[in-house]
Amino acid sequence: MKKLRTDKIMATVNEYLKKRNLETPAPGGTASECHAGVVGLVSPSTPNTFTFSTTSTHHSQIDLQYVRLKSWMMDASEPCRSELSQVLFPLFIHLYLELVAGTGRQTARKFFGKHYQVFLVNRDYESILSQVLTAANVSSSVDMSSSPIIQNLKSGKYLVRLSEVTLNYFLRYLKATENPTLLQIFNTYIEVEVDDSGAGSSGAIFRTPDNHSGASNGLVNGHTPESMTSETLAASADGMDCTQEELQKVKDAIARLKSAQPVPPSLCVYSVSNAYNGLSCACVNSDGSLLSCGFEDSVVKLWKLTAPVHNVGFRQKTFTVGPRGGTSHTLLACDASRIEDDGDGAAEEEEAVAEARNGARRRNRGGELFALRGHQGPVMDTCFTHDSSHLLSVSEDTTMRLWNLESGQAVALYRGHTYPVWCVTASPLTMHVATGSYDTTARIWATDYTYPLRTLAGHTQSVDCVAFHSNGTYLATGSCDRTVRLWQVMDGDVARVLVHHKAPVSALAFSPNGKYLASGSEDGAVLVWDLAAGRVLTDLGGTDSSTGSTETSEHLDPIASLCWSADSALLVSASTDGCVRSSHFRQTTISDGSSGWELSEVRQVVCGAGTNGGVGGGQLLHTSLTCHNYLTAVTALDVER
Amino acid sequence: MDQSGQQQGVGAAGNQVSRSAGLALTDFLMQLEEYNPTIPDAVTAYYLNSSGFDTADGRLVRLISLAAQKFVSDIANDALQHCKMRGAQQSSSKIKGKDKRFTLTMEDLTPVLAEYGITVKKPHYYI
Repeated sequence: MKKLRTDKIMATVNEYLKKRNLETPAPGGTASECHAGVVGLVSPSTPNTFTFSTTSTHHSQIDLQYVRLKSWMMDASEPCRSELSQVLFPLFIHLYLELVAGTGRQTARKFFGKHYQVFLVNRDYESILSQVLTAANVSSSVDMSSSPIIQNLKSGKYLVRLSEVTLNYFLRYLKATENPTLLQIFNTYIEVEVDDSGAGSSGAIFRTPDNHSGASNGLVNGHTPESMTSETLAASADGMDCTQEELQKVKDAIARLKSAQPVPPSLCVYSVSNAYNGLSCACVNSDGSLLSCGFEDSVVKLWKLTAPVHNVGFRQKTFTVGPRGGTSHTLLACDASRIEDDGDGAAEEEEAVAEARNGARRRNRGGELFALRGHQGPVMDTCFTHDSSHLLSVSEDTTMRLWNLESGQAVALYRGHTYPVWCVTASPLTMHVATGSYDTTARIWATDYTYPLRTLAGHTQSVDCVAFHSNGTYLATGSCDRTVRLWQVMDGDVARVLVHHKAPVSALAFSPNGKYLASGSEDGAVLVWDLAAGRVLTDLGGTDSSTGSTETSEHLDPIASLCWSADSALLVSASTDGCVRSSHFRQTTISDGSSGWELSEVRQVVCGAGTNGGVGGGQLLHTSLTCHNYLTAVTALDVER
Repeated sequence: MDQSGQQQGVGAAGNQVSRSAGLALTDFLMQLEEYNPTIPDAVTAYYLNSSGFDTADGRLVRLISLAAQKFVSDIANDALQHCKMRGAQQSSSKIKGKDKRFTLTMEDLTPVLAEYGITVKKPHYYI
C-alpha cells in the first residue's frame, strides 16, 4: 500500500510539473525530494500562486471527523436532524473509499465495520454498502476504480434536498470545526438542492451524468429513508401534544414567577443638554411620546419622543430643521426623531421604511414641536392631561395656563394664587386639576373655570407637591412644614394629617391600587403610608429587621420624584443626584410571628453623569412610569448654578 | 392693517381719535424700518419672550426697543437737567470753566426715577 501511495504522489507531482511546463526532476527521486520540490514550487512569487491543499488525511483524523459529525447531527434540533441524516450516508461511503485509496484496507475495514450498522436499516443503503464492500476488497486500486459501482459513485454527485436553514447550519458546523476532509468530500461528491418546502426528509436521489450501465439503474433510490428518520419522526409527533411533565414544568415556572421579586422596569433617560436657559421642570406624558420642559425664561418647550401612538392631531405638523421664527433651535439628545407620517393610513411598515431610508439623516432632525410662550416668570411645573391633548403649566408669575397641543396656542389663563405656584397635577378620572403654591394653599380647579373651585388652606408653609388618589376623591399635599395632608376633593376638608418627615416633603405618589401613599422628602427619606390606618408602614433604607443587616440603601439627596409600578409591588424613587432606585414593597413575616412590611432594594442605577466629567453634572428632574411599562427620567446637563 | 383693526374694535367713542392714532402708528412703523434702535433685536426679543410675548414680526420688536430707548434717554436727560441745576447753584473755584463732563450719580437719579414711578433705595454699604 505504501508503494501505491508514493506512486500516486509521484504521478500527481509530475502531472503538475508538466502542466506548469517545468522541468521534471529525475525519476526515482525520493518522496521527500519530490515533496520539497513541490513545496519549493508552491511558495513562489505572487503571480505564480497556486492553491494546493495537501489534505493529509490520516485515517484517525477521518474517523474523528466522522464521529464528531455524527454526534453533532444527533444533537441537532428536529427539522434539521432528519434532513441532515441524508447527508450522512454519502459522506460515509466516500470517506470509506478515501480510506481504501489512501491508507489501506485494514483501516478502511475497521472504519467500515465501526459505522456501517446505522445504515443497515435502509434496504437500498444496504445494497449499496454490500456492493461497495465487495468492490473495495479488490486487490489493486486500478481494479477498484474500474468496478462499476465505484465508478458510478465517483463520477456522479449524490443529490440531497435540504432547506436553506439546515444547509447554512451544516455549512457553519463544517467550517467552524476542523473538517477538511468532510468539506472536500461534501464539495466534490454531494450536490445540495435547496428546497424550503419542508420535504427535506424525502428520498435522496442518486444522480449520474450518464445513464449507461445497468448497475447504475439499480442504484436509483426514490424511497424515503424512513428507517433512518423513524426515531426523528417519532420525536416530532410527540412535540405536538404536551406531555404531562411539560405541563407541570410550565405550571411550576408560572408559580415561581409569581412569587419572585418583581423585575424593575427599563429606564429610559432623556438628557437635556445646553440647558443654559435654566431647565426648571420636565414632564413626560403617560404614553412616553411627549416631553415638556419648563424653563426659567418663561418658555415651555415640547418635544416628540416617539412616533405617535394615537395620532392625536400631530398629523398636520411639519418639522422644520434649523432656526424657526428667528429664535435659535438647539438639537437635544432626547430627540428620538422618527419620521412623522402624514397619511391617515399610519401603517407601521410605512414608517419603518421611511426610517430605514432616512437612516442617519434623521438623527439630526429636531423633535421639537413647540415653544409655548405666555408665562411671565419661570415655569415651575407642567402636567399633561390624560389624553395628552392639552398641557397645563404653572409658573412663578402666580398663574396657571392651559395650552392646546394640536395648535400650540394658549387656551386659558387661571388666576387665583397670590404667590408663585410650585406644582400642578391632574386627576386621573375627573376633570379636576390641583395646584400647590408658596402662599401655603392648594387650590382645586376645573379646566372650565378660570377661578379655583376650592382653596385648601391648612399648611403653615409653602405647598411643594400635590397628588391625586387613583379614584380622584382625595388629594395629598406635601409641604415645607414637613407634613402631608390628605384632603377630600368634594368638601375641601382635611381627612388626615400625616406627620413623620424630618425635612420638607418634596415628592408624593399614590399606589395604583389605592391603598398606599409614598412620600419623599429633602433629606432623602422615603416613607410608605397605609391610607386606611394613616400610619407609616415602612421606609426606604431602614434596618432590615428579619436579617438585621443595616445596609444603607438610602438616598442622600432630595427626592425628585416617586412612582409606583402598575401592580403596586415596585416603588421607584429618584433623587436629584441622579440615583434611581427601585424597591420591592411587600409584606414580610418577622421572626416573632407578626407581619411587617418592607421595602427591599431591587436595583439601583445612577443616571445623569455630566458631560464634563461629572462636575456640573446632570440634575435629575423627573421620573415617571409610562403605560408601556418603562420608566422615563429626565436630567439636565450643563446646568450652571 | 391689524393694528388699526384692533383699535377700531375697542369702542364706539373716540373712534375717530383711535383710527387716526392707528394710522399714524402704522405710518410710523413703516418709517421705523430704516432706523436701527440702539438696543439689539435679540436682547429685546429675549425680554419679550420671557415676559410671555411671542411674535414673528420684527417691526414690533423694534417698536418696543425704541420705546425702551426713549424711556432710558428721557430719564438720563432729566438727570442731566438735575445735575446742571445743581452745578449752577454751586459755582465754586473747583469747577474748571464750562464743565463739559457730568457724572450721573444716585443723588440725581433717585428723584428722577421717583417721578417715573420707580423707587430706588441703595444700601449705604455693601454686605
